[in-house]
Amino acid sequence: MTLVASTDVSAHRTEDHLQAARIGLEPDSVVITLDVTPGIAVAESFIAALDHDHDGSLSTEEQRGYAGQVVSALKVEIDERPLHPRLVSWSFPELTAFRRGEGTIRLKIQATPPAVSAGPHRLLFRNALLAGHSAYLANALVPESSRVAVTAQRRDRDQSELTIEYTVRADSTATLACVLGSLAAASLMVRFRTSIEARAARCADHARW
Amino acid sequence: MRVTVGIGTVAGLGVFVAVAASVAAQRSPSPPAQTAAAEATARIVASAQALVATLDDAGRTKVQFPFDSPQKSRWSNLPTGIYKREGLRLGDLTAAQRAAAMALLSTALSQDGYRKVVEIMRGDEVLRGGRGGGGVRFGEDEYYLAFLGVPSVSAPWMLQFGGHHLGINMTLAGRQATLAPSLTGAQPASYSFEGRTVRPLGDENDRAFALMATLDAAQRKQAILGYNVSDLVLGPGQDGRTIQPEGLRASALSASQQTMLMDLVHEWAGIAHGALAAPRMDEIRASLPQTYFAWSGSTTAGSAAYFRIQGPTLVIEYAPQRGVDHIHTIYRDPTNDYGARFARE
Repeated sequence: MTLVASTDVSAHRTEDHLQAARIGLEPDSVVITLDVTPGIAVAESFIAALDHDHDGSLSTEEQRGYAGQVVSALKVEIDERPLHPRLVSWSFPELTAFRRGEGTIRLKIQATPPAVSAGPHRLLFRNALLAGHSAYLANALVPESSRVAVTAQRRDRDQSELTIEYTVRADSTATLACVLGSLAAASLMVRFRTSIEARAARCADHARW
Repeated sequence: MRVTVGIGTVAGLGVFVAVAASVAAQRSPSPPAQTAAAEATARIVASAQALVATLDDAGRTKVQFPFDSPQKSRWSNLPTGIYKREGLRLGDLTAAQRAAAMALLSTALSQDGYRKVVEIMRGDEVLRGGRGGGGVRFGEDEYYLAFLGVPSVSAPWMLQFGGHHLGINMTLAGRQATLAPSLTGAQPASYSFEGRTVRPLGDENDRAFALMATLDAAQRKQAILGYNVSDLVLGPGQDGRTIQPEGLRASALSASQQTMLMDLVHEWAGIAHGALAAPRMDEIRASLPQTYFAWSGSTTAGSAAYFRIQGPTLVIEYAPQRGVDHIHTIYRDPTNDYGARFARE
């Protein structure tokens, strides 16, 4: 049996970082999951930057510190109004996985959008982490809420910036409550008017007598 | 306002009825097709039992997991040493056991599917010759097989087989089966074996470029994404996520282009035994108008280009890794990964 490769092979990511963002957009939340995978060639410098006490492992504080840097490198806006993303959870692999180019840091980041009216809106996501040394992926997830529909996604060439255009439908339960409230108010007004007219009629009768 | 709510409700009911009817139609293959699928499952179960019969107690313990075990989502494109797999390691089996394991795969998969799996494993043997170290191990011995649930002709169970650049997750439930999610990859994407050139994922690549070559300017404008895609968006570890579809709707393709697209889809869906893949292809065909084809990269054959096919029940991604000689692909069904729909039924 003979096996011969026709070209040289390169098993894993080398000098750049892969950053993959998936953005879930709901009426009352924006959830960003961001995976950061440093390449083999940058692994040692990456580890050195994280492992401040050089003990060969990442403490919770060291992990939190790096995760905080990541979050501060993100810009999230809705209709040009800045949001304030916050770290929800994170996971780090063993340092040896970084050295093989296959260690992925996974972050869950959340932001609360402003109350928006029904109609078209625009979310801007910009990732400035390790700019110039990264390959980026950025995608909108299909919203779970039927009130939100993504209508377009626009990116720059390297996907470090993603604009999600979307529409928001009125909350049908709120709408129904509004309708019922209006009906109740109208009903009260009719009853009130009938009562006034009855009183007026009685007054007129008294006046006649 | 009330009128709007009424129309929305009626429209919603209409869509629900149409989708339900469509799904019901898709799930009701003809009686001969049902018989063929049931027979295929029976042969796969018999083959699985034949493998189990060759194992000792330790082997039987290693291969068997509960159906809802976390093992279900433990698969990866990474090689052994970076990613720890469970199950029967081919390198630990006797010749007879290994033959039984490969016989099971050849029964469960189509001829093309089995060839693809063997060629991916053989490609890893090429890597073994030139790489390794640091605990990373390549080669045909480094593939693992597991059952989730007891192999059955009626109850749901899963056949899992994987290693570097391979994750076959086949869930069977009577006459129904799904391969979603499954991963194929290749590195090297082209190598020589006994005097011939082997390209494990060559047909996927060639069919995609052939389809792109038929698109007119307007179709290309829709299909080609204006940005680079450097890896899988919904690869391992991304279960349960559905990204917003992009690209060219298949409804904008001609009949012959749609046939080419379905032939391309078959490179993944058709990895399974033909009788089990046929209803899946019918399902994908039924939702073709809502299916998108997207492309990133050069359209010149021989280039490294990413493409994605995404429909209501389908996600396929093909992602070259900074060159043509290292490929990652993923195949998913957001409505039925790991046979979730079968379990509900």
